[in-house]
Amino acid sequence: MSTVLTQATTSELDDFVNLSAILTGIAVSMLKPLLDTHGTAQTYLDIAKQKGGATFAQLMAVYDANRTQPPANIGTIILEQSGDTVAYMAKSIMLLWYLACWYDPQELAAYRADPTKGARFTVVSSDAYTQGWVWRVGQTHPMGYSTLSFGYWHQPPQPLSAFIGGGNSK
Amino acid sequence: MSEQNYDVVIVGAGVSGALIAKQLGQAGKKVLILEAGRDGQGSYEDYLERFYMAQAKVPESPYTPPIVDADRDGFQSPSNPSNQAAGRPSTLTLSQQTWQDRNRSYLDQQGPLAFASTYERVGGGTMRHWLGTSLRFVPNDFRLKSEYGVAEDWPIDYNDLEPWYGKAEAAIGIAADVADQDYLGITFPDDYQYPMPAIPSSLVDQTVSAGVEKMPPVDGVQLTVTNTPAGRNSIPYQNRRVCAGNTNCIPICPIQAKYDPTVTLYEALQYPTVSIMYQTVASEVVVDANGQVSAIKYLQYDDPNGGVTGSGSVSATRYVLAAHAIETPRLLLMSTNGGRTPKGVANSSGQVGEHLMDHPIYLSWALAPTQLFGYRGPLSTAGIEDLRDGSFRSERAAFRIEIGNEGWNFPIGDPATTTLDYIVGANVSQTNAGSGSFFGDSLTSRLNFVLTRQFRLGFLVEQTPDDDCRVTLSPEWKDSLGLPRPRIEYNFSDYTKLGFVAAKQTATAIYNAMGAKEYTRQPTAADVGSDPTVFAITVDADGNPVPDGQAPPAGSTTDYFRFYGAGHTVGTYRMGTSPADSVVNPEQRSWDHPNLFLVGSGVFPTVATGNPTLTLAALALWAAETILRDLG
Amino acid sequence: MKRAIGFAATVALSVAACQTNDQQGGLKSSALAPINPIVTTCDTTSPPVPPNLVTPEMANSGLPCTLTFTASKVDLTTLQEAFDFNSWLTFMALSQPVDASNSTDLQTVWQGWSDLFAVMREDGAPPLPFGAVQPPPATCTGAPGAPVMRMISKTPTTPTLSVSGEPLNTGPLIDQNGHYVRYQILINEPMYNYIVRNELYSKAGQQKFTDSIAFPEGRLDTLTTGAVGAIVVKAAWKVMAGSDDPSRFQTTTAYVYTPAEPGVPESCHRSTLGLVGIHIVHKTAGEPQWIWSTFEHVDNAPTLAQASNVTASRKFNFFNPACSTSKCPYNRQPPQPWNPSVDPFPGEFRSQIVRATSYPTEATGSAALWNRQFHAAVKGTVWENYELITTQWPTEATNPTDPEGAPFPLFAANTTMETYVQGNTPLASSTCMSCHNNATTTTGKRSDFTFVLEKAH
Repeated sequence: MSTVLTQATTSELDDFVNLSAILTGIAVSMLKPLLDTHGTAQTYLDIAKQKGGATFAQLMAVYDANRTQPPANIGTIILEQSGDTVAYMAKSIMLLWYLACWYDPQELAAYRADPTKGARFTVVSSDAYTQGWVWRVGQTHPMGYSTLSFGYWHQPPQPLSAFIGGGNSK
Repeated sequence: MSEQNYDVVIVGAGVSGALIAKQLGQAGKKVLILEAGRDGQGSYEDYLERFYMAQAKVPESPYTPPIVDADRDGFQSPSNPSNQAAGRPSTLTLSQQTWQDRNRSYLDQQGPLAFASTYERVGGGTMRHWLGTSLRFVPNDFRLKSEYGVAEDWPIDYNDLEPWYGKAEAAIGIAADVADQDYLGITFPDDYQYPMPAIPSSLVDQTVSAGVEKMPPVDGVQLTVTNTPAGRNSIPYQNRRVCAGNTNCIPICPIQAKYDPTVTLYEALQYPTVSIMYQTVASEVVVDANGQVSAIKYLQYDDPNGGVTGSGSVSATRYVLAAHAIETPRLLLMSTNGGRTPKGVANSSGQVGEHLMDHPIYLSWALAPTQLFGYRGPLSTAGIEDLRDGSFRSERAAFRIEIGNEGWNFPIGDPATTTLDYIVGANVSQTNAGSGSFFGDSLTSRLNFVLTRQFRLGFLVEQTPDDDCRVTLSPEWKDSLGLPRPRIEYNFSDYTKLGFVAAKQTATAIYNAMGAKEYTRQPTAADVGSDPTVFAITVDADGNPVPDGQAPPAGSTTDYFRFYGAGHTVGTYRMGTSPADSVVNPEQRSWDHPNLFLVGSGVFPTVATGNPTLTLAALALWAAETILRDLG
Repeated sequence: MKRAIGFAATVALSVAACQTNDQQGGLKSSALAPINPIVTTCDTTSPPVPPNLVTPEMANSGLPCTLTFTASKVDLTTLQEAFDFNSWLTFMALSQPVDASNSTDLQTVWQGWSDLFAVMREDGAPPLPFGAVQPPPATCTGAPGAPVMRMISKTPTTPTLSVSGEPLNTGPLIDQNGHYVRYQILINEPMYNYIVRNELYSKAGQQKFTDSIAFPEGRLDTLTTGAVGAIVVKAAWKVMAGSDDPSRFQTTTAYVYTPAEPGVPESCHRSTLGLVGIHIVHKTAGEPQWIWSTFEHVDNAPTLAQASNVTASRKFNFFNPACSTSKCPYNRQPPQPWNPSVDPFPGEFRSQIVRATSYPTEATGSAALWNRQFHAAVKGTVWENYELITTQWPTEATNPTDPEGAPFPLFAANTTMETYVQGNTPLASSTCMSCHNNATTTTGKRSDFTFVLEKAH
């Protein structure tokens, strides 16, 4: 299957997916399959731009400035060395992929400070919910959306790599 | 709307109403069903879409009227039951801030504890979001008083109900193997076969089973893991698909592999003599000078948030109230007949609305030492049934243990909570000591580690019928039709609370036997009084409860417990042997009004130790036969 | 470069090699004919590349055994176009006329296949020979050899037996003349052979069968030699009546039969029916989740978007432009009870249907492209009155964590057969593969994407 898209000129979507793979730990080819029947990557990019505005642009600028670094470094730079604004924007994007929900970066910052207050969010769509990555990381399916057959729960699932790919954050 | 004469009028299109309507329709009887809520037909996409978009995926979340409103940013918060024509309770309004707020809580909760279970008012009823668990009661459940000197006996016993259990199992479609189910005195006819083979166990079940096999007996009882009979297809049945393990039985099975009463309802409506009026709220049971019910008055609405748009009354030879255990007493208490029945209808005993009960749940959770792959399969496929009966029942509540297949979804709202922990840097799940945040492979490996080891055990504790638990009418809170909303008083007896103490000890013993690490978070003293779902119990060194207000003797221990509702609302128009202390006779016929039947879980004198659905379905079929005999 | 679509192709072929002889079309004993015989007439016509268009010869070039195409690029649009072209070739090939042996009607190829009721018989008895028409009930007279239409919802349940008919409580379709639409399920010979050879036509037979269910696959071996594999057709028929113009429909003469209900005797009458919808589902080596094609009569219903702007004089099979939305809400089931013997449907109710499933532009563009070209190529025939709605196909047939193979488009519905579950809600709205992925035998074993086996007695 495909590997990290490394063309000479990468599109905005490609950059978004590459960065998302680094942050989420899910392979690029799974976040955006060759035949992308759900179009989730484009949906999340659109949300990030619409809700994130200048903050999202700032995040992508940091990515752009560091794109040739090893993936692990890129993650660290964004999440720990570029300030809270960039870090929480990145976390909002990670949560889009994991939970198919939009958490505003400021909600996340407040949550970190005091989790007892909870964090408000909205679900992106029913389609996105069925593609949430947290479930695959758990080697399962979203509650309310199974493509498996009767009795599957009696046996162990496929290995984690079958669900999320080989990972590319080394 | 003019009166029309029917053979039977049924209030409520839930499981009891649907089963009775189908039996009557099959016999060619003229039946009218009055259903307060909306027609559920054709709304499945609507329900499922609402579920997928729900920010709190609680049991009520798919159904109507919606339990939340969204603000202009899309954030959902509890809707206002004062503006609803056929509202009902929601698990979103059990916090200190909401449980007594008339603009949030449908129920006028007087406490001291919150009544934590909910129900639906919609075609198909509350059973639309049952889990599917279809246990028969054990014989001693019917004899709590004569066996153990506690609470009440039922006026019927297991053998009386046994043939009806079989019929109910066929009507719903239960998957189980008889060989697994004949414990604690449960018996079956010699060649009995459940309609469908048992649902396979999950890896969680298998892991728990391997652990409890190594345990020494608890209270003299060896624990075993038993497959749970379920109203869920293991083969095609009733033209519905087999279970695909969507892990979503509560609140909604996306493919209707789990039975819900709309199946029976639409079969009932195929008989030309059966009809239904939706958005029709029964508002009074009219009684004539001879003590017979002579009509049911109703109000109708077009807009679920609007007022009355129509009214009328219907008469019949027989009347059946099947509106569940809070709305049925509400209707009876509202029926004052211009002052002629000031205590309401069918209430010479004064017991209408009394002895409200639930199975309060003690919830515990842990991480298994090895991967057991939760979040797969039906929400529950097995339990530990061995502690549903035993000599300890003379001292403390029995319970059944439900093994959950859905990780820590119930206890902490996972996987979202743990995901937030690891991405944002928090430790709400208690698995992220240090509250670090992660990305890439270290995120996926940590999350995978935890999610694939999470599991929970729920203890459904047998609450006793108590004098301080009741449904009455709220003097001030009304719905948008102007009808008084239900008022609830609720508490637990020491007997029930001691069941929680035993549950906690049993949970810890099971986790120890499994080598699992327990994460159950117990409330503290500060939570009592500031969280209406928390109570305390102090026991002395001999295990006897120390009454409230008394100084605890040396050696006493105090436990604080959070409880959850199981959705098992029972007891509020109980059956009995005497009109002095019960509302219906063993036929579920009102003592006061021979042409009135009250069905559903409200007739239960005790809540027993099994989920109520199968028993109330069996009783409903029995009542249908009685009604047919009446009609001749 | 021609290639069989589906990255599964090589994997599937090697899997096929491991299966029993019964599967392969080899012989278990010299007396048995192959389940999936070799044919030398596999149609390998590729989609014409612009400026070339579909010609009448192309349209009638025959039945593809599997999907073959010339891959210029691998993307959703290109592949959707390949599958949709393949669907039209298949529809035209199966719609070729053959002489009906025991009636005066000309019928199409698929009409000569085995009806579900001739295969899944009430006592679990062995099926009638392939293509044999089941003798009608005694009350049906006047049209010897005619098929019997007894299904009022797309699954064969009698009206009072689990009236929900279908999961999620769907229901019958009532046309503008008040008649119930009738349905048929037919299977082709390789599919029939597989069922008969493995005794899957009865509950007892299914209990005895210990292998996994795997219907024979269409495949191309070399040039035009291969095997057809299993094909299921589900057809929706409308009684020709009132102002219907039969010349706009593929028609058939059939018995319209309704079994007895409490208080209502059985009824049977001979009718001319017109085809209003057809599913064609083809299992191929490259698409183990099958290829799902669906066609509708062009006059069935407007789309949701068009519905409020339709001219009052436009005639639809299942929509009345003159009826207001308050009086005729869209896509509502008829009021119960549903009693097909009461004909026409009592009262004023007529189904008011709109096409409510949203399709991605790759699918709508492709369907429009081929409908236009094939309609031009078959102009003057009745086939220009049928349009492809879409083809659902697996984009990742061998995905290890998704047995559905990531279908595209996500949702698909025929207004005549998935009338009340049109939409875009996961699992609840019609989507061929997701629903059929749950199909099992009467014993609960996966039945390879068909519900046919669960109908055994």
